[in-house]
Amino acid sequence: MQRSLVALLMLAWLILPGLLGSNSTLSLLVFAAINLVQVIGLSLLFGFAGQISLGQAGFYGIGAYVSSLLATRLGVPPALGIIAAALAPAFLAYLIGRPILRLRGYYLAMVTAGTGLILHTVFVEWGGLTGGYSGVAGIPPIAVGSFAFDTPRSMFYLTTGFAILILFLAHRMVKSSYGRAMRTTRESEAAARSVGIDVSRLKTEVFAVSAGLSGIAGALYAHYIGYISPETFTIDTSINLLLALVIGGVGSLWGGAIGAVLLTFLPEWLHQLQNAYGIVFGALVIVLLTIEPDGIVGIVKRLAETWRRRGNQKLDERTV
Amino acid sequence: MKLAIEDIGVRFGGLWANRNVSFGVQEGSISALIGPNGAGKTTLFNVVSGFQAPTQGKVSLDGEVISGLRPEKVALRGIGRTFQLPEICHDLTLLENVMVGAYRHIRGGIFGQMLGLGPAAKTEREARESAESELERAGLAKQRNQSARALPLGQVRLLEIARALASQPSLLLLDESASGLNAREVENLAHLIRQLPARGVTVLLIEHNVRFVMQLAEQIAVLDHGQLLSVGTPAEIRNDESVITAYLGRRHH
Repeated sequence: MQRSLVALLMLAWLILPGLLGSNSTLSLLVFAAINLVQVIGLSLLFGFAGQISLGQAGFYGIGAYVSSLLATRLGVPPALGIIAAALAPAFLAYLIGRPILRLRGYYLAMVTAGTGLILHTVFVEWGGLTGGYSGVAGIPPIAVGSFAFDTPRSMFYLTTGFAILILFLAHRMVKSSYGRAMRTTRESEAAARSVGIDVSRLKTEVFAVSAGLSGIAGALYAHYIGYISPETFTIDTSINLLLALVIGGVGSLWGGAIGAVLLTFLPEWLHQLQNAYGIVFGALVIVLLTIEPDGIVGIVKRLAETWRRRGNQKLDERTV
Repeated sequence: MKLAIEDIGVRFGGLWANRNVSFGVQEGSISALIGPNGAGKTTLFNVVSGFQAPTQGKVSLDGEVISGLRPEKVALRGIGRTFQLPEICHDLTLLENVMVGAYRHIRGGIFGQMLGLGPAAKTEREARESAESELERAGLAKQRNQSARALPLGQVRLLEIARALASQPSLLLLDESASGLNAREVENLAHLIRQLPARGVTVLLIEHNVRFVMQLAEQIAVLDHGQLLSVGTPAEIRNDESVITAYLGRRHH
């Protein structure tokens, strides 16, 4: 049953681009996959290890700039640039992680937001390197050998491939001993430390992983659209990522995935609303979270539970 | 001597929560720490387990000084503990909670664990097996796949003990594990604790239930106002004048 479901999904994945026909929807799916990579990183950090970050856009930016500049200035192939784009923000997060992850809740939110603001300022002000407000243009697409990922269709396969791989690895991570340690750390650092878990190291490592995933997303984004500027890497983006996670469901990877797709498609669906978009989106968030703190995944779980119970009741009636 | 507590003092501002506390715990014994509320029992536990740095004095385990180490390092030396207000992960199942205890025995690093490579897979399997048997001993085997969220307090305490034991400690610190348990659960707990020395686990427990302590412990240390009032066998403690006035006496009035 599960195997046939996987096979069906694989088939859908293969034929989807052909069915859609329109490049704009395909392009949205590419952005959804890129967002998914990032939101999964945030899900590991916030949902599983319990550490909030409002600075992910800064790491997203580092990944985008590192890979773009390596390609445009030094001619480094983007396929290698992506690796640098993952390592650079991960390294930075690892350096600043120990001191700032001592803080909790609101304080951590503010300090990570501050980190994001500083990085944004660097993107703007270090003009000689980043091009300031005008950004970096002429970024080449990712290429392997002579094949370039320069169409929405090829990028669809590349980015969704990345997204599936990262979703799978993240799933393995949260199911492992390390994942149990993350969840215990979120709920009780005392409990975690009492069994030998070095919580400050664990938090720093997960912070670095989430920054690295944002960096990969940044590089994929840059090589896809070919142009980057600081306005993509603002605190708005960081907040949207967090909202996406919370709307989808904080406590599960599926929640992150659903949230990332919604984050990409909602603005498109609610396009006709124009300026009222912010109001409608905000109201949706408020209503959803008031009903169910675990977001969409929480609602689905609750519905499934109700159906199961109703099914059992019917079964009971029949046996009686 | 398994554990040696030497001249421990802990000062919070102007108050000494512990002062000049010295006593030892013999390898393979069951010892108890008793005293009225606010006597400094949990503070002393926190010192031994690394959650509280002592203002003065030292603690050694098997001859090596451990005071001043961080809690996670103390845990790696083989000291397990429970908490007066239980600390568990409500998001995990009972089995997963206990498996967290085996964290220090998992090998293979994070990537090995993610990919389920040799040493990681082997130690994970061993962790599962040892967690299963600890749940069995704690009488929680039936609920192993339930979420820990809805567990009543008595069973939460047992779950914490199972987790601590899954780390295979050589010394186990139990902070009021019998409180909140019903009579049958207390009986099961006593049975569980009695078997620990034979498994190579030395036990030091804090307890308010004096009857429970008297029938279980070979050695009892009495704290009052942060100071050690007396150390001895249950019989000695029962007949100690200072203990009777300071502690037991108060309960009988």
